[in-house]
Amino acid sequence: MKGKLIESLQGKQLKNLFIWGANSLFEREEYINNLNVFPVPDGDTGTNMKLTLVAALEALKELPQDQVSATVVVKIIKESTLKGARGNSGVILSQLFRGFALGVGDTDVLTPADFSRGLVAGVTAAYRAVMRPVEGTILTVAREVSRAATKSADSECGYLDYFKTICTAARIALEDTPRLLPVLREAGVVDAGGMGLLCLYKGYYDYMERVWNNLGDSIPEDIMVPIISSPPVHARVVELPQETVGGYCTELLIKGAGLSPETLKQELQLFGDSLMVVGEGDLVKIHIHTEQPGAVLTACQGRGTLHDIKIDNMQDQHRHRVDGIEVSEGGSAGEEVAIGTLAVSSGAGLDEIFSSIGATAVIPGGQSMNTSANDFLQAIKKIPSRKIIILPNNKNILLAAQQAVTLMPDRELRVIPTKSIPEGLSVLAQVNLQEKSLEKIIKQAERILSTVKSGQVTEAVRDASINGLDITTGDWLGMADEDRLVIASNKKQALVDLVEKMVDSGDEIISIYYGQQVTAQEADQVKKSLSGRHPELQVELYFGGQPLYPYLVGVE
Amino acid sequence: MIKIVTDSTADIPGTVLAKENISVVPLQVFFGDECYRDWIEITPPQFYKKLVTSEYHPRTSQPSPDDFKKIYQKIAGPGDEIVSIHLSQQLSGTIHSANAARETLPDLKINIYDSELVSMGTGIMVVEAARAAKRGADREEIEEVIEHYRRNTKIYFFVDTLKYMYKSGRIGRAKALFGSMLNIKPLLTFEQGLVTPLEQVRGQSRALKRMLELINEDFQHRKSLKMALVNAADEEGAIRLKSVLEAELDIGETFISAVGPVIGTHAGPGVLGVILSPAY
Repeated sequence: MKGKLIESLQGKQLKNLFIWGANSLFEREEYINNLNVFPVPDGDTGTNMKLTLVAALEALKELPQDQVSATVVVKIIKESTLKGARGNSGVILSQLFRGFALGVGDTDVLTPADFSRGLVAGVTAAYRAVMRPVEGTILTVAREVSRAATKSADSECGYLDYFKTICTAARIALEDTPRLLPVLREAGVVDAGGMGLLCLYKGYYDYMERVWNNLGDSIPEDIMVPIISSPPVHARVVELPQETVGGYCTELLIKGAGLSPETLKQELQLFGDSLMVVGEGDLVKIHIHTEQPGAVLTACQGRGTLHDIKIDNMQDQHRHRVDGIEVSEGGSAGEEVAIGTLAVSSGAGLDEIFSSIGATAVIPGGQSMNTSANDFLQAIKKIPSRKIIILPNNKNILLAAQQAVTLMPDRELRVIPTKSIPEGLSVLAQVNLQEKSLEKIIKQAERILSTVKSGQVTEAVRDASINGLDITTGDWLGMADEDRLVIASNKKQALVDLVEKMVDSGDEIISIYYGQQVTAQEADQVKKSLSGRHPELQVELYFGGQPLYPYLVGVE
Repeated sequence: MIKIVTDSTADIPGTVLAKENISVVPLQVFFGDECYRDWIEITPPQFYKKLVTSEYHPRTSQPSPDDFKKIYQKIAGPGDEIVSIHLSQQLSGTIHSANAARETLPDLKINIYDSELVSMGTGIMVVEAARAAKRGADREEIEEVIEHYRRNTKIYFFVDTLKYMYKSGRIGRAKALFGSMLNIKPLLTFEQGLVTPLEQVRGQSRALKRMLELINEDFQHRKSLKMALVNAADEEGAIRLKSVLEAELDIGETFISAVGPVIGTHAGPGVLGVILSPAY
């Protein structure tokens, strides 16, 4: 029976609708990735949206085959995409689903009117999730779709026409994005996130058409194939710094004949530190911090008679002091004092620097791979502190970090909006983690952030035109904060020119973090050349080991 | 009459000691087995030179009770009372030696105070106590002077590296700081007698700039301040800093001194400190 008018969706159909939508987006992943404004390898919109949807597909697989209500499906999609959200477009997508779930409420089946309510509520949620909503993006497309859908839901034409209306509205809104957003116009592309959304809706339409043509409302096996698991991301939790005050402060006098301080020193230094051996001849005083006071006494006994023995447990002394401070400052006993820190980093060298300056945990992520909200959640669970500072260190990871925070209300989590690795390093290096109040740390971080400028050097992956500059594939680009851009024929020159543009009077330190593609020798030459050009500044060079970007640079 | 005693870690310049009639019990610095009495047998310039050239890392030791006993006996005439003020007992056992000496001198009136500070932080307190004694203040009033400076003195300092403090264990709450990479200079202070971190700043000149900002925030509206500038061995630097701070704050009196050998052993060669308190 061809031409069946579908006026409502059951849970099972809704699930299939979503799978068709997701697959439609998967097929165009690369195309969406290529709608990148800057011709550089950074967070790919298609991939981010795909991985966000993959999280939902995996959760839907667990769903029993028999009857489920629409609400259950909507709820699963909402919860899994909130966690799986990756990149700004992924976070916005997950917020559209979150709002959708709120909008449709509790219902067994979805009518087009229900669906429209969901779309409208989704737009509200997505706009709220973004600090400064920009028109000409996925937000605009979602909003225009929700308006058209609301109108169309009133005419009783069934789901096929309904999704046709939606797709048409999405396409018109998408085509309008270059007019609304100058960077798109200049790059000659439409918004990538908006395109992703159109692909999703196109998949919905295709599914309805399939049902209309009576090809069955199940999903053929082959369409499930593109579903891949999201890559596992492992947080490396740094060993927390151990209490260095430990053991026993041991003091004693030895009386004997012909005592040699030098010999005693050599013998006793094996037992601990802070060793002092004073005196000579028939009386020597020993002082040592040791884990084995008994062994020290035994060793000394072989030299003479022991007097005035004093052994204090330094841990007790220390603990006592710490407790005193907590009480005096109003903290309750047993409360976690230490503040944990979680930094997104990419590259062995950068991981190590982050750890050395106090990161409790480091998770991989960056330009080439945006960290998901779930990656943050998993890493946070491993950190044994209730209060945690999160450094996303990338502007396309910031939203996912903030989303993770809202999903974990039982901990005190704060995201410092660091947009780059050099910013993250400068902030972590300079905030006082001994501070007990997170708000004070945030204040410090804001002040520090205002003192750091960051930039990066990479290779153009396609031809483009930005700020009136023509870029050819293979050119080396240096980019800093907003609109400082340089083009050079080699990476060293790109860095030198970029730094030239970044340095203002009052700056004091240039920090260069060199990546995988750069040898230590090359990096050293770059450092020399920068030192020569900026004799009044201190140039510091560190191995970062990051992929794709040979140089990251901070000026402060 | 009340006689004032302190120890060498107060880092009070010799001219001030003589003028204010303050007696000093020295601590000791050891390079290997060579022992020097702080400030007396080794001056700060000699010490910092030796610190970077000697094969030994120096160690320090507190005065013996006998060192205190000798000074107490020497200065106390009939009817005199002694006020003995010393560095934070969280950092040194000096005060225990002073207490032990007092036990052996039941006939003398000896009052011992923990400044909960170091270097010229203790120094300003001691000088003001000595001035109060000179103008005939009784012990109770001198105790008020001591309490005033204990409460109000703030020490701001930074070090080149935390290495020296780690080595000597005098790191207090600052021990969780990470200073190894990125040229981080920790800005430090004293709280309840312990080294406590304020902030960390990248780069020497930025650290100094930030320290001045913090000082301004804390003291810009305070009147007639007592100030001390202490550093390793750079009097010119201290004088430059003096003119900067005197232009910004209402400074009543400034002391410039070196960080002496004993404190220098634990702070290292790049130490720079600003100590401030409203006058009593």
